Amino acid sequence: MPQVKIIAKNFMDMVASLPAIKLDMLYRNQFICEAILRSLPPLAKKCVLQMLYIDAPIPSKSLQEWVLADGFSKHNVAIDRLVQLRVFEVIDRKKETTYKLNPTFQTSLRKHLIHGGILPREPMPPNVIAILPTSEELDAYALEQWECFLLQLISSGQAEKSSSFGSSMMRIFQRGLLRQREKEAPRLTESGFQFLLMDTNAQLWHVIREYISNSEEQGVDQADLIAFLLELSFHTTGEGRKESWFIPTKLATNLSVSLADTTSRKQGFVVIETNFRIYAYSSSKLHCEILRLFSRVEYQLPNLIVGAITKESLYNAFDNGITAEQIVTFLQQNAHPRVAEKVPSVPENVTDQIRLWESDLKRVELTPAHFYDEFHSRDVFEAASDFARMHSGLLWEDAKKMHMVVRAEINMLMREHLHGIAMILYGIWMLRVWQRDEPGSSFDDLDSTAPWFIYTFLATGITLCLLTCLGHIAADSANGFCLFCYMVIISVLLLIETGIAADILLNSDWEKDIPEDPTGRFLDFKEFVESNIDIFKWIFLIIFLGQGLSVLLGMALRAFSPNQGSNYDSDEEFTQARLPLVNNHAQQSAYVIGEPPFVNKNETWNANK
Amino acid sequence: MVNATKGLFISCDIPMAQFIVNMNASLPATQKFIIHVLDSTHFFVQPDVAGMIRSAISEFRDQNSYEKPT
Repeated sequence: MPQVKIIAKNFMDMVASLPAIKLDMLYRNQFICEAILRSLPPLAKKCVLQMLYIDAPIPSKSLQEWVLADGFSKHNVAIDRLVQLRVFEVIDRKKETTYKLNPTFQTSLRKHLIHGGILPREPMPPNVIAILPTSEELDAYALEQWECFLLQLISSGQAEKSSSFGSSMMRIFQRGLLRQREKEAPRLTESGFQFLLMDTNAQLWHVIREYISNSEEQGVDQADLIAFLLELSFHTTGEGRKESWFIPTKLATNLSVSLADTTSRKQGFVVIETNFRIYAYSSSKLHCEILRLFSRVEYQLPNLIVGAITKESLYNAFDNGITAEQIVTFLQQNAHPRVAEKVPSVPENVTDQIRLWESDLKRVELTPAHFYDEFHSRDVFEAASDFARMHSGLLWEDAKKMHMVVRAEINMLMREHLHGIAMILYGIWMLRVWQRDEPGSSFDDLDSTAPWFIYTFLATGITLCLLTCLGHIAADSANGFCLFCYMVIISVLLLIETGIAADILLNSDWEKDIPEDPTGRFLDFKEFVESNIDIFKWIFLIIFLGQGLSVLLGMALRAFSPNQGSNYDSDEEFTQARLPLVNNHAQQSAYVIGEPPFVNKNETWNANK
Repeated sequence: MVNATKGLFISCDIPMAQFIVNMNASLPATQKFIIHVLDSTHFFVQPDVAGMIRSAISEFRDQNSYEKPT
């Protein structure tokens, strides 16, 4: 039952997100430790149990020896889960990482093993025993309340009167499941429809999760709440507890059972035939409503609901956000005992047809993207397509015509990367030309005649490429260290740029500071700049203003919305920063690189807001 | 240097591709939206035609369905 596992895992994620102190307090309770143990993946359970009585830390290599070679990925997943839940403590020594069980967890689990799992109960006074309901009554009551709640969910879409639940509780549970538009009755959202088709245990977990996330507003401590709920799930049905005498029903006790991902079969009621007709042996209004979601209900008899699955009814369901998988799973899980023994319980032609109808809606895929062509050389094209493939953004390419289509999201990174690649290739070309022209000089002859210009050019190109990769990794993983490196490199580059600019502007003899350039390229560039000095002055002014403004904007945005990382802003100002400094192409085509980012700056700024 | 064009990348099966080409051909020249025909199942089109394409396809699909009058 993958659904329950996902929901239960979400609950465990919530547990894992509690701060370490609260988690330690939780682990003092034996039953919570058992609940957490039940929710772990099987490999993790094995690890925990094997390390239960070992006090010394174990190196991770020995842990890996417990697993066969093809289980390594599952093993790593298990270890990550354990570290996340703080069941495993990581001790990082210089050469290897070692793991140790959380001591509180360890002692509680050991005690639990030794003393068994009976909750302390006070004996009930006889007057209470007399009025204890029987288990059938309890089951009936639980079922009735749950159905009432679900009907409330469906029928509030049709605006009927409410039931006996507290209205604030209802609001909490319905958050995210109902959507209210103005002047209209509240409607179910997509997740609402999916919620209805889920298994009861999955629904319960979802509701509890919403309740707990809402508990902070009510002032109740999350950890206490989780502890209480988990303990509740360990009571056996029908036994009371302490003064206020609440009696857990099957719903509650099934909570902890469902953590372990075992299926609790309840009586199915749906028969579906190969002619797409549905016969549901039930008199419950809830079942009728659920069937109405995806099939056309034709007759309703006292104990039978007759309907048919049609293309129109399914399109209706798909419009509401229900997927074919959910419908098929619902039919399979609720199959009537008569057909449940047959394999398959739902005929294949029905399941195939439902999936075909769903895929008919998805025949055309539209993705916002950018189209790149007119590459100057095959090397640039191949490097660019490798980069795009690495970042899973390459949608289509034609190697013969050197065209490619790349996702819109990585467009900025692609541009920077292309600049980097272009610079590297140009640097290599210049190097080759220089070596060809001066056959006498060799690599021993560095010192002042070294083509520092070319090397700087190459180095900047390589830095640019590395920087785009780093920026992408940092943006994806939001790793603090990567972001820090990225910011450091950018600030260093900005400082170098400001330094050189100040030197050029203020120091009239700046040419003496720079070593002699044997290639003559730098002289060419200087003459080019001097001949068009007017245009260049304006361009540099605008670029510096742009940089200053973007820094200010970045700071302002950061002040207003602390969640926004300054990565994207600095990506753009970085593109601006590199261009004037490294606009060393003697060719006119340099301006083609310069222009598009400049023009697109405004649109991408707006898009990023 | 490299030229970058912004737009929408369409990926579909061959019948749908023909449908899109037909739709493009039936529009007046100012409204034609296909920028490049990449191959028999992929296109690169103007970025703002997504809604129009989707509604045309669902209209085409509805013409194919028959609902029994109740």
